[in-house]
Amino acid sequence: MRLGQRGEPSALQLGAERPQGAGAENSLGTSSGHAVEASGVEFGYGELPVVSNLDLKIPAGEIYVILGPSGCGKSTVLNMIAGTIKPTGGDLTCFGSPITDLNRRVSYMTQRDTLLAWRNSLDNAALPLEIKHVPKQERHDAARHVLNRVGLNGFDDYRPHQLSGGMRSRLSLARALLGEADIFLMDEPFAAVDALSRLKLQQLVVDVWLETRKTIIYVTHDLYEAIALGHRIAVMTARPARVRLEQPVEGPESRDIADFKGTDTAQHLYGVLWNALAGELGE
Amino acid sequence: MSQTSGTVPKPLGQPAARGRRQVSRKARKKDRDLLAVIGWRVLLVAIFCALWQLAPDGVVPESAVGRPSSVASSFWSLLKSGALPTALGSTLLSVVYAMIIGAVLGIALGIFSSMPVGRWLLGPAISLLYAIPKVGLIAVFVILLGVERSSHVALVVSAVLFVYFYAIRQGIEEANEDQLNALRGMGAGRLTVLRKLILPSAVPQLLGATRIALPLALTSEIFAELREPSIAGLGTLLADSSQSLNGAAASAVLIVTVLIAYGLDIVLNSRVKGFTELTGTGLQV
Repeated sequence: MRLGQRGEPSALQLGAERPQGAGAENSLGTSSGHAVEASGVEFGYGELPVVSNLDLKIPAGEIYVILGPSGCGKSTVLNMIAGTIKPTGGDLTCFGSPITDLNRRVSYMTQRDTLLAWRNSLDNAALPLEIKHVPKQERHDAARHVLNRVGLNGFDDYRPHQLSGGMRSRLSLARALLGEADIFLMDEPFAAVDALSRLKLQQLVVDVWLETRKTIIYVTHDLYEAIALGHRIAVMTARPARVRLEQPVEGPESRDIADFKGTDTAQHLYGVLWNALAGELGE
Repeated sequence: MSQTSGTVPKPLGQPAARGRRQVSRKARKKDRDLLAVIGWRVLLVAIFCALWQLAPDGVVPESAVGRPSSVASSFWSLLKSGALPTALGSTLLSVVYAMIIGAVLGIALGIFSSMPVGRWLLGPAISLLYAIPKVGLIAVFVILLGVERSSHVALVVSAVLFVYFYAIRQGIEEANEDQLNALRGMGAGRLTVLRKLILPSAVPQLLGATRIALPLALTSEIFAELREPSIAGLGTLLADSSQSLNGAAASAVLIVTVLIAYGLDIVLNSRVKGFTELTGTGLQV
Protein backbone atom coordinates (compact mmCIF):
# COMPACT_ATOMS: atom_id res chain seq x y z
CA MET A 1 0.00 0.00 0.00
CA ARG A 2 1.28 3.38 -0.95
CA LEU A 3 -0.06 6.52 0.58
CA GLY A 4 2.29 8.91 -1.14
CA GLN A 5 0.36 9.71 -4.25
CA ARG A 6 2.10 10.78 -7.32
CA GLY A 7 1.16 13.68 -9.50
CA GLU A 8 -0.01 15.98 -6.77
CA PRO A 9 1.02 19.59 -7.09
CA SER A 10 4.36 19.96 -5.46
CA ALA A 11 4.50 22.09 -2.40
CA LEU A 12 8.16 21.58 -1.91
CA GLN A 13 10.27 22.53 -4.83
CA LEU A 14 14.00 22.53 -4.68
CA GLY A 15 14.23 26.27 -4.21
CA ALA A 16 13.97 28.03 -0.89
CA GLU A 17 11.47 30.59 -2.05
CA ARG A 18 8.71 28.69 -0.37
CA PRO A 19 6.90 30.53 2.42
CA GLN A 20 7.87 29.28 5.82
CA GLY A 21 4.45 29.96 7.26
CA ALA A 22 3.17 28.02 10.23
CA GLY A 23 2.64 24.54 8.89
CA ALA A 24 1.20 26.04 5.74
CA GLU A 25 1.06 23.08 3.42
CA ASN A 26 1.46 19.42 3.40
CA SER A 27 4.61 18.60 1.58
CA LEU A 28 3.23 15.80 -0.48
CA GLY A 29 4.70 16.91 -3.74
CA THR A 30 6.57 14.44 -5.81
CA SER A 31 6.11 15.76 -9.29
CA SER A 32 9.34 17.73 -9.29
CA GLY A 33 12.73 16.05 -9.58
CA HIS A 34 13.52 13.01 -7.56
CA ALA A 35 16.72 13.00 -5.61
CA VAL A 36 16.79 9.23 -5.61
CA GLU A 37 14.74 6.71 -7.50
CA ALA A 38 14.92 2.97 -7.05
CA SER A 39 12.96 0.48 -9.03
CA GLY A 40 13.20 -3.21 -8.46
CA VAL A 41 16.52 -2.83 -6.69
CA GLU A 42 18.04 -6.03 -5.36
CA PHE A 43 21.03 -6.63 -3.18
CA GLY A 44 22.33 -9.79 -1.65
CA TYR A 45 25.39 -11.68 -0.56
CA GLY A 46 25.40 -14.82 -2.66
CA GLU A 47 22.14 -16.62 -2.00
CA LEU A 48 21.17 -14.36 0.88
CA PRO A 49 18.96 -11.47 -0.22
CA VAL A 50 19.32 -8.31 1.87
CA VAL A 51 17.24 -5.99 -0.27
CA SER A 52 14.63 -7.34 -2.60
CA ASN A 53 12.45 -5.59 -5.16
CA LEU A 54 12.91 -2.17 -3.59
CA ASP A 55 10.96 0.71 -5.09
CA LEU A 56 11.62 4.19 -3.78
CA LYS A 57 10.95 7.67 -5.03
CA ILE A 58 12.63 10.19 -2.82
CA PRO A 59 11.59 13.74 -3.72
CA ALA A 60 14.30 16.36 -3.83
CA GLY A 61 14.34 18.82 -0.97
CA GLU A 62 12.53 16.68 1.57
CA ILE A 63 13.43 14.84 4.70
CA TYR A 64 12.77 11.23 3.83
CA VAL A 65 12.87 8.80 6.71
CA ILE A 66 13.52 5.12 6.23
CA LEU A 67 12.11 3.28 9.21
CA GLY A 68 12.54 -0.40 9.83
CA PRO A 69 13.41 -3.13 12.27
CA SER A 70 17.05 -3.54 13.21
CA GLY A 71 19.06 -5.48 10.70
CA CYS A 72 16.43 -5.22 7.98
CA GLY A 73 18.83 -3.75 5.44
CA LYS A 74 18.22 -0.01 5.93
CA SER A 75 21.92 0.74 5.99
CA THR A 76 22.39 -1.36 2.88
CA VAL A 77 19.91 0.90 1.08
CA LEU A 78 21.91 3.97 2.16
CA ASN A 79 25.17 2.34 1.14
CA MET A 80 23.76 1.71 -2.31
CA ILE A 81 22.64 5.33 -2.59
CA ALA A 82 26.10 6.42 -1.45
CA GLY A 83 27.57 4.14 -4.10
CA THR A 84 29.80 2.24 -1.67
CA ILE A 85 28.08 -0.99 -2.68
CA LYS A 86 26.44 -1.86 -5.98
CA PRO A 87 22.93 -3.25 -6.33
CA THR A 88 22.85 -6.77 -7.70
CA GLY A 89 19.76 -5.92 -9.71
CA GLY A 90 17.29 -3.19 -10.63
CA ASP A 91 17.75 0.50 -11.36
CA LEU A 92 18.98 3.07 -8.90
CA THR A 93 19.36 6.68 -9.96
CA CYS A 94 20.37 9.92 -8.28
CA PHE A 95 18.89 13.04 -9.87
CA GLY A 96 18.17 10.96 -12.94
CA SER A 97 21.60 9.48 -13.52
CA PRO A 98 22.47 5.93 -12.51
CA ILE A 99 24.73 5.49 -9.50
CA THR A 100 27.72 3.62 -10.83
CA ASP A 101 30.55 4.72 -8.56
CA LEU A 102 30.94 6.56 -5.26
CA ASN A 103 28.13 9.13 -5.29
CA ARG A 104 29.66 12.58 -4.98
CA ARG A 105 26.29 14.25 -4.62
CA VAL A 106 25.75 12.78 -1.19
CA SER A 107 27.29 13.45 2.17
CA TYR A 108 27.08 10.36 4.33
CA MET A 109 26.86 10.47 8.11
CA THR A 110 27.45 6.86 9.09
CA GLN A 111 26.54 5.33 12.44
CA ARG A 112 30.12 5.65 13.58
CA ASP A 113 31.37 9.09 12.73
CA THR A 114 34.16 9.50 10.20
CA LEU A 115 35.93 12.39 11.92
CA LEU A 116 39.72 12.27 11.84
CA ALA A 117 41.08 11.63 15.33
CA TRP A 118 44.26 13.67 14.88
CA ARG A 119 42.48 16.83 13.75
CA ASN A 120 40.78 19.38 15.93
CA SER A 121 37.19 20.44 15.34
CA LEU A 122 38.14 23.37 13.17
CA ASP A 123 40.27 21.30 10.80
CA ASN A 124 37.80 18.45 10.79
CA ALA A 125 34.98 20.77 9.77
CA ALA A 126 37.16 22.51 7.20
CA LEU A 127 38.24 19.26 5.54
CA PRO A 128 35.91 19.50 2.51
CA LEU A 129 37.26 22.97 1.78
CA GLU A 130 40.84 21.88 2.39
CA ILE A 131 40.41 19.17 -0.23
CA LYS A 132 39.21 21.84 -2.64
CA HIS A 133 42.36 23.86 -1.86
CA VAL A 134 40.51 26.77 -0.27
CA PRO A 135 43.10 29.01 1.43
CA LYS A 136 43.59 28.38 5.12
CA GLN A 137 42.22 31.65 6.47
CA GLU A 138 39.13 31.40 4.31
CA ARG A 139 38.33 27.80 5.16
CA HIS A 140 38.90 28.41 8.86
CA ASP A 141 36.49 31.32 8.77
CA ALA A 142 33.92 29.17 7.03
CA ALA A 143 34.52 26.34 9.51
CA ARG A 144 34.08 28.68 12.48
CA HIS A 145 30.83 29.82 10.98
CA VAL A 146 29.38 26.32 10.66
CA LEU A 147 30.73 25.25 14.05
CA ASN A 148 28.88 28.21 15.45
CA ARG A 149 25.78 27.16 13.53
CA VAL A 150 25.73 23.67 15.04
CA GLY A 151 26.44 24.99 18.52
CA LEU A 152 30.09 24.09 18.80
CA ASN A 153 31.54 27.56 19.19
CA GLY A 154 34.47 27.53 21.55
CA PHE A 155 35.41 23.95 20.71
CA ASP A 156 37.73 24.76 17.79
CA ASP A 157 40.76 23.16 19.38
CA TYR A 158 39.09 20.03 20.72
CA ARG A 159 39.87 16.72 19.12
CA PRO A 160 37.06 14.22 18.49
CA HIS A 161 37.92 12.07 21.50
CA GLN A 162 37.52 15.09 23.75
CA LEU A 163 33.95 15.67 22.55
CA SER A 164 30.78 13.89 23.65
CA GLY A 165 28.84 11.70 21.22
CA GLY A 166 26.35 14.48 20.59
CA MET A 167 29.08 17.00 19.93
CA ARG A 168 30.74 14.64 17.47
CA SER A 169 27.42 14.37 15.64
CA ARG A 170 27.27 18.17 15.53
CA LEU A 171 30.80 18.29 14.19
CA SER A 172 29.96 15.73 11.50
CA LEU A 173 26.98 17.84 10.53
CA ALA A 174 29.14 20.97 10.40
CA ARG A 175 31.57 19.22 8.10
CA ALA A 176 28.71 18.02 5.88
CA LEU A 177 27.46 21.61 5.66
CA LEU A 178 30.79 22.70 4.18
CA GLY A 179 30.62 19.99 1.56
CA GLU A 180 28.78 20.53 -1.67
CA ALA A 181 26.51 17.53 -1.41
CA ASP A 182 22.89 17.88 -2.49
CA ILE A 183 21.78 14.98 -0.36
CA PHE A 184 22.57 14.21 3.27
CA LEU A 185 22.45 10.53 4.12
CA MET A 186 22.09 9.95 7.84
CA ASP A 187 22.29 6.44 9.24
CA GLU A 188 20.96 6.54 12.79
CA PRO A 189 23.35 9.40 13.44
CA PHE A 190 22.12 10.03 16.97
CA ALA A 191 21.65 6.44 18.09
CA ALA A 192 24.47 6.68 20.63
CA VAL A 193 23.36 10.02 22.07
CA ASP A 194 21.35 10.51 25.24
CA ALA A 195 17.64 11.30 24.83
CA LEU A 196 17.83 15.01 25.68
CA SER A 197 20.76 15.71 23.37
CA ARG A 198 19.04 13.67 20.69
CA LEU A 199 16.02 15.93 20.86
CA LYS A 200 18.22 18.99 20.36
CA LEU A 201 20.08 17.33 17.51
CA GLN A 202 16.83 16.39 15.80
CA GLN A 203 15.75 20.01 16.05
CA LEU A 204 19.11 20.99 14.59
CA VAL A 205 18.52 18.68 11.61
CA VAL A 206 15.15 20.30 11.00
CA ASP A 207 16.64 23.79 11.34
CA VAL A 208 19.47 22.94 8.98
CA TRP A 209 16.96 21.57 6.53
CA LEU A 210 14.95 24.78 6.77
CA GLU A 211 18.04 26.81 5.91
CA THR A 212 19.46 24.62 3.18
CA ARG A 213 16.42 22.74 1.82
CA LYS A 214 18.68 19.86 0.96
CA THR A 215 17.35 16.37 0.57
CA ILE A 216 17.91 14.44 3.76
CA ILE A 217 17.56 10.67 3.78
CA TYR A 218 17.40 9.61 7.38
CA VAL A 219 17.51 6.02 8.56
CA THR A 220 16.18 5.14 11.99
CA HIS A 221 14.42 2.43 13.94
CA ASP A 222 12.90 4.98 16.31
CA LEU A 223 9.22 5.67 15.53
CA TYR A 224 9.15 9.02 17.30
CA GLU A 225 12.27 10.17 15.56
CA ALA A 226 10.74 9.23 12.22
CA ILE A 227 7.57 11.18 12.99
CA ALA A 228 9.48 14.16 14.32
CA LEU A 229 11.73 14.55 11.30
CA GLY A 230 10.15 13.13 8.21
CA HIS A 231 8.16 14.68 5.42
CA ARG A 232 7.69 11.13 4.33
CA ILE A 233 8.33 7.89 6.15
CA ALA A 234 9.01 4.62 4.40
CA VAL A 235 8.40 1.63 6.64
CA MET A 236 10.60 -1.24 5.57
CA THR A 237 9.82 -4.92 5.81
CA ALA A 238 12.05 -7.33 7.67
CA ARG A 239 14.89 -8.72 5.61
CA PRO A 240 14.90 -8.78 2.64
CA ALA A 241 14.10 -5.09 2.76
CA ARG A 242 11.24 -3.72 0.74
CA VAL A 243 9.02 -0.71 1.32
CA ARG A 244 5.93 -1.87 3.18
CA LEU A 245 4.28 1.51 3.60
CA GLU A 246 5.07 5.05 2.62
CA GLN A 247 3.50 7.56 4.95
CA PRO A 248 3.51 11.30 4.31
CA VAL A 249 3.78 13.56 7.33
CA GLU A 250 2.85 17.15 7.70
CA GLY A 251 6.16 18.83 7.01
CA PRO A 252 8.25 19.86 9.98
CA GLU A 253 8.92 23.35 8.60
CA SER A 254 7.66 25.18 11.60
CA ARG A 255 7.78 22.23 13.89
CA ASP A 256 9.04 22.35 17.38
CA ILE A 257 10.04 18.75 17.72
CA ALA A 258 9.56 18.43 21.45
CA ASP A 259 6.01 19.78 21.20
CA PHE A 260 5.13 17.95 18.04
CA LYS A 261 5.74 14.57 19.58
CA GLY A 262 2.83 15.17 21.92
CA THR A 263 0.25 16.20 19.33
CA ASP A 264 -2.69 14.10 18.20
CA THR A 265 -1.27 14.02 14.68
CA ALA A 266 1.90 12.48 16.00
CA GLN A 267 0.00 9.97 18.12
CA HIS A 268 -2.12 8.98 15.15
CA LEU A 269 0.97 8.56 12.97
CA TYR A 270 2.57 6.49 15.68
CA GLY A 271 -0.37 4.11 15.52
CA VAL A 272 -0.23 3.83 11.75
CA LEU A 273 3.51 3.26 11.67
CA TRP A 274 3.44 0.85 14.56
CA ASN A 275 0.80 -1.28 12.85
CA ALA A 276 2.95 -1.46 9.76
CA LEU A 277 6.11 -2.15 11.71
CA ALA A 278 4.66 -4.63 14.20
CA GLY A 279 3.88 -7.07 11.43
CA GLU A 280 7.54 -7.10 10.54
CA LEU A 281 8.77 -7.58 14.08
CA GLY A 282 6.64 -10.59 14.92
CA GLU A 283 8.06 -12.84 12.26
CA MET B 1 41.71 5.27 50.63
CA SER B 2 40.58 7.13 53.71
CA GLN B 3 42.70 10.15 54.25
CA THR B 4 40.97 11.50 57.33
CA SER B 5 41.11 8.41 59.51
CA GLY B 6 42.54 9.14 62.91
CA THR B 7 42.32 12.87 62.50
CA VAL B 8 39.80 15.38 63.78
CA PRO B 9 36.99 15.69 61.22
CA LYS B 10 37.59 18.83 59.21
CA PRO B 11 34.75 21.20 58.49
CA LEU B 12 33.24 20.78 55.07
CA GLY B 13 33.05 23.65 52.67
CA GLN B 14 35.33 25.04 50.03
CA PRO B 15 35.02 21.82 48.12
CA ALA B 16 37.06 23.19 45.25
CA ALA B 17 40.04 23.91 47.46
CA ARG B 18 39.71 20.51 49.04
CA GLY B 19 39.61 18.90 45.62
CA ARG B 20 42.76 20.68 44.60
CA ARG B 21 44.50 19.59 47.77
CA GLN B 22 43.52 15.99 47.11
CA VAL B 23 44.83 16.19 43.58
CA SER B 24 48.15 17.60 44.69
CA ARG B 25 48.37 14.98 47.40
CA LYS B 26 47.76 12.32 44.75
CA ALA B 27 50.42 13.87 42.53
CA ARG B 28 52.88 13.91 45.38
CA LYS B 29 52.12 10.27 46.11
CA LYS B 30 52.71 9.46 42.47
CA ASP B 31 56.09 11.23 42.62
CA ARG B 32 56.97 9.28 45.75
CA ASP B 33 56.00 6.01 44.06
CA LEU B 34 58.17 6.85 41.06
CA LEU B 35 61.13 7.67 43.30
CA ALA B 36 60.66 4.37 45.11
CA VAL B 37 60.64 2.47 41.83
CA ILE B 38 63.81 4.22 40.65
CA GLY B 39 65.43 3.58 44.01
CA TRP B 40 64.66 -0.13 43.80
CA ARG B 41 66.01 -0.35 40.29
CA VAL B 42 69.26 1.41 41.23
CA LEU B 43 69.57 -0.91 44.19
CA LEU B 44 69.10 -3.98 41.97
CA VAL B 45 71.78 -2.76 39.56
CA ALA B 46 74.10 -2.07 42.51
CA ILE B 47 73.52 -5.57 43.90
CA PHE B 48 74.16 -7.05 40.46
CA CYS B 49 77.42 -5.08 40.13
CA ALA B 50 78.50 -6.04 43.62
CA LEU B 51 77.92 -9.73 42.92
CA TRP B 52 79.74 -9.39 39.59
CA GLN B 53 82.65 -7.68 41.30
CA LEU B 54 82.89 -9.95 44.33
CA ALA B 55 81.89 -13.39 43.04
CA PRO B 56 84.69 -15.95 42.99
CA ASP B 57 86.61 -16.38 39.77
CA GLY B 58 85.01 -19.70 38.86
CA VAL B 59 81.50 -18.18 38.85
CA VAL B 60 82.26 -15.05 36.78
CA PRO B 61 84.39 -15.70 33.66
CA GLU B 62 86.53 -12.67 34.26
CA SER B 63 88.61 -13.01 31.08
CA ALA B 64 85.43 -12.85 28.98
CA VAL B 65 83.38 -10.17 30.71
CA GLY B 66 85.77 -8.43 33.09
CA ARG B 67 84.74 -7.05 36.47
CA PRO B 68 82.85 -3.79 37.00
CA SER B 69 86.06 -2.10 38.12
CA SER B 70 88.00 -3.19 35.04
CA VAL B 71 85.01 -2.44 32.79
CA ALA B 72 84.86 1.08 34.24
CA SER B 73 88.54 1.67 33.71
CA SER B 74 88.35 0.27 30.15
CA PHE B 75 85.42 2.56 29.51
CA TRP B 76 87.39 5.51 30.84
CA SER B 77 90.45 4.82 28.74
CA LEU B 78 88.35 4.22 25.59
CA LEU B 79 86.61 7.51 26.28
CA LYS B 80 89.84 9.40 26.95
CA SER B 81 91.60 8.06 23.89
CA GLY B 82 88.63 9.18 21.78
CA ALA B 83 88.19 5.67 20.38
CA LEU B 84 84.75 5.22 21.90
CA PRO B 85 83.24 8.60 20.88
CA THR B 86 84.56 8.19 17.32
CA ALA B 87 83.26 4.65 17.05
CA LEU B 88 79.90 5.61 18.53
CA GLY B 89 79.57 8.56 16.16
CA SER B 90 80.42 6.42 13.15
CA THR B 91 77.99 3.66 14.10
CA LEU B 92 75.18 6.10 14.78
CA LEU B 93 75.84 7.90 11.49
CA SER B 94 75.44 4.67 9.54
CA VAL B 95 72.33 3.82 11.54
CA VAL B 96 70.76 7.23 10.92
CA TYR B 97 71.46 7.05 7.17
CA ALA B 98 70.07 3.55 7.00
CA MET B 99 66.99 4.33 9.08
CA ILE B 100 66.07 7.26 6.85
CA ILE B 101 66.68 5.41 3.59
CA GLY B 102 65.02 2.25 4.91
CA ALA B 103 61.94 4.08 6.18
CA VAL B 104 61.44 6.06 2.98
CA LEU B 105 62.00 3.02 0.75
CA GLY B 106 59.91 0.71 2.91
CA ILE B 107 56.99 3.15 3.11
CA ALA B 108 57.15 3.91 -0.62
CA LEU B 109 57.25 0.22 -1.53
CA GLY B 110 54.47 -0.52 0.94
CA ILE B 111 52.23 2.12 -0.60
CA PHE B 112 53.06 0.99 -4.12
CA SER B 113 52.43 -2.65 -3.30
CA SER B 114 48.99 -1.76 -1.91
CA MET B 115 47.88 -0.65 -5.35
CA PRO B 116 46.62 -3.39 -7.66
CA VAL B 117 49.58 -3.06 -10.06
CA GLY B 118 52.06 -3.01 -7.22
CA ARG B 119 50.54 -6.03 -5.55
CA TRP B 120 50.70 -7.92 -8.81
CA LEU B 121 54.29 -6.87 -9.47
CA LEU B 122 55.81 -6.93 -6.01
CA GLY B 123 53.76 -9.29 -3.86
CA PRO B 124 55.76 -12.53 -4.22
CA ALA B 125 59.09 -10.71 -4.70
CA ILE B 126 58.82 -8.92 -1.36
CA SER B 127 57.88 -12.10 0.47
CA LEU B 128 60.89 -13.88 -1.05
CA LEU B 129 63.28 -11.04 -0.23
CA TYR B 130 61.94 -10.90 3.31
CA ALA B 131 62.87 -14.54 3.76
CA ILE B 132 66.55 -13.90 2.99
CA PRO B 133 68.76 -13.92 6.09
CA LYS B 134 69.84 -10.31 5.74
CA VAL B 135 73.23 -10.66 7.46
CA GLY B 136 74.26 -12.99 4.66
CA LEU B 137 74.01 -10.07 2.26
CA ILE B 138 77.03 -8.27 3.74
CA ALA B 139 79.34 -10.17 1.37
CA VAL B 140 77.24 -9.17 -1.63
CA PHE B 141 77.14 -5.53 -0.57
CA VAL B 142 80.90 -5.40 -0.01
CA ILE B 143 81.46 -6.77 -3.49
CA LEU B 144 78.93 -4.38 -4.94
CA LEU B 145 79.74 -1.24 -3.01
CA GLY B 146 83.28 -1.82 -1.82
CA VAL B 147 84.71 -1.53 1.66
CA GLU B 148 82.82 1.63 2.32
CA ARG B 149 80.24 2.90 4.73
CA SER B 150 77.68 2.40 1.96
CA SER B 151 77.96 -1.37 2.18
CA HIS B 152 77.17 -1.20 5.91
CA VAL B 153 74.28 1.16 5.26
CA ALA B 154 72.96 -1.11 2.52
CA LEU B 155 72.93 -4.07 4.89
CA VAL B 156 71.06 -2.13 7.56
CA VAL B 157 68.61 -0.77 4.97
CA SER B 158 67.88 -4.30 3.81
CA ALA B 159 66.93 -5.16 7.38
CA VAL B 160 64.82 -2.14 8.42
CA LEU B 161 63.09 -1.67 5.07
CA PHE B 162 60.84 -4.66 5.70
CA VAL B 163 59.80 -3.45 9.11
CA TYR B 164 58.47 -0.22 7.57
CA PHE B 165 57.08 -2.06 4.56
CA TYR B 166 54.89 -4.33 6.64
CA ALA B 167 53.95 -1.54 9.06
CA ILE B 168 52.63 0.76 6.34
CA ARG B 169 50.89 -2.15 4.65
CA GLN B 170 49.10 -2.90 7.90
CA GLY B 171 48.28 0.79 8.31
CA ILE B 172 46.74 0.91 4.85
CA GLU B 173 44.77 -2.28 5.39
CA GLU B 174 43.41 -0.99 8.68
CA ALA B 175 42.47 2.45 7.35
CA ASN B 176 38.85 3.14 8.11
CA GLU B 177 36.81 2.46 5.00
CA ASP B 178 34.03 4.87 5.96
CA GLN B 179 36.59 7.65 6.38
CA LEU B 180 38.10 6.71 3.05
CA ASN B 181 34.72 6.93 1.34
CA ALA B 182 33.96 10.19 3.11
CA LEU B 183 37.15 11.77 1.80
CA ARG B 184 36.64 10.40 -1.69
CA GLY B 185 33.09 11.71 -1.59
CA MET B 186 34.49 15.17 -0.85
CA GLY B 187 36.44 14.89 -4.07
CA ALA B 188 39.78 13.78 -2.66
CA GLY B 189 42.09 12.07 -5.15
CA ARG B 190 44.51 9.27 -4.38
CA LEU B 191 47.33 11.53 -3.28
CA THR B 192 45.08 13.58 -1.02
CA VAL B 193 43.66 10.43 0.57
CA LEU B 194 47.21 9.25 1.15
CA ARG B 195 48.34 12.52 2.71
CA LYS B 196 45.26 13.38 4.72
CA LEU B 197 44.10 9.94 5.80
CA ILE B 198 46.36 6.96 5.17
CA LEU B 199 49.67 8.37 6.40
CA PRO B 200 48.29 10.13 9.49
CA SER B 201 46.29 7.08 10.52
CA ALA B 202 49.38 4.90 10.03
CA VAL B 203 51.47 7.03 12.41
CA PRO B 204 51.04 4.62 15.36
CA GLN B 205 52.14 1.68 13.19
CA LEU B 206 55.12 3.68 11.87
CA LEU B 207 56.21 4.73 15.35
CA GLY B 208 55.89 1.12 16.46
CA ALA B 209 57.93 0.07 13.43
CA THR B 210 60.65 2.54 14.40
CA ARG B 211 60.83 1.04 17.87
CA ILE B 212 61.43 -2.36 16.29
CA ALA B 213 63.68 -1.13 13.49
CA LEU B 214 66.10 0.89 15.60
CA PRO B 215 67.59 -1.91 17.70
CA LEU B 216 67.56 -4.08 14.58
CA ALA B 217 69.52 -1.37 12.74
CA LEU B 218 72.03 -1.10 15.59
CA THR B 219 72.48 -4.86 15.65
CA SER B 220 72.90 -5.10 11.88
CA GLU B 221 75.38 -2.24 11.80
CA ILE B 222 77.48 -3.72 14.59
CA PHE B 223 77.41 -7.04 12.79
CA ALA B 224 78.58 -5.35 9.60
CA GLU B 225 81.41 -3.69 11.53
CA LEU B 226 82.42 -7.00 13.10
CA ARG B 227 82.44 -8.68 9.74
CA GLU B 228 83.93 -5.78 7.78
CA PRO B 229 85.75 -3.67 10.36
CA SER B 230 87.44 -1.23 8.00
CA ILE B 231 84.81 1.40 8.80
CA ALA B 232 85.48 1.86 12.48
CA GLY B 233 82.49 1.66 14.79
CA LEU B 234 81.32 0.03 17.98
CA GLY B 235 81.58 -3.32 16.22
CA THR B 236 85.20 -2.61 15.36
CA LEU B 237 85.93 -1.88 19.00
CA LEU B 238 84.25 -5.15 19.94
CA ALA B 239 86.31 -7.03 17.37
CA ASP B 240 89.50 -5.38 18.62
CA SER B 241 88.82 -6.16 22.25
CA SER B 242 87.98 -9.78 21.56
CA GLN B 243 91.12 -10.15 19.47
CA SER B 244 93.22 -8.73 22.29
CA LEU B 245 91.27 -10.92 24.75
CA ASN B 246 90.16 -7.81 26.61
CA GLY B 247 86.80 -8.90 28.04
CA ALA B 248 86.41 -5.75 30.11
CA ALA B 249 86.63 -3.50 27.03
CA ALA B 250 84.11 -5.69 25.18
CA SER B 251 81.72 -5.40 28.13
CA ALA B 252 82.19 -1.62 28.20
CA VAL B 253 81.31 -1.33 24.50
CA LEU B 254 78.28 -3.61 24.88
CA ILE B 255 77.01 -1.66 27.87
CA VAL B 256 77.32 1.60 25.92
CA THR B 257 75.42 0.03 23.03
CA VAL B 258 72.66 -1.18 25.33
CA LEU B 259 72.33 2.23 26.98
CA ILE B 260 72.13 3.98 23.60
CA ALA B 261 69.43 1.60 22.37
CA TYR B 262 67.54 1.96 25.65
CA GLY B 263 67.72 5.76 25.54
CA LEU B 264 66.44 5.87 21.95
CA ASP B 265 63.59 3.55 22.90
CA ILE B 266 62.56 5.80 25.78
CA VAL B 267 62.48 8.80 23.42
CA LEU B 268 60.42 6.88 20.85
CA ASN B 269 58.06 5.58 23.47
CA SER B 270 57.32 9.10 24.62
CA ARG B 271 56.52 10.01 21.00
CA VAL B 272 54.09 7.08 20.81
CA LYS B 273 52.46 8.20 24.06
CA GLY B 274 52.24 11.75 22.75
CA PHE B 275 50.37 10.59 19.67
CA THR B 276 48.09 8.37 21.73
CA GLU B 277 47.17 11.28 23.96
CA LEU B 278 46.65 13.57 20.97
CA THR B 279 44.18 11.29 19.25
CA GLY B 280 42.71 9.52 22.25
CA THR B 281 43.53 6.19 20.63
CA GLY B 282 42.54 3.47 23.00
CA LEU B 283 40.25 5.81 24.91
CA GLN B 284 37.61 6.30 22.26
CA VAL B 285 34.90 3.68 22.23
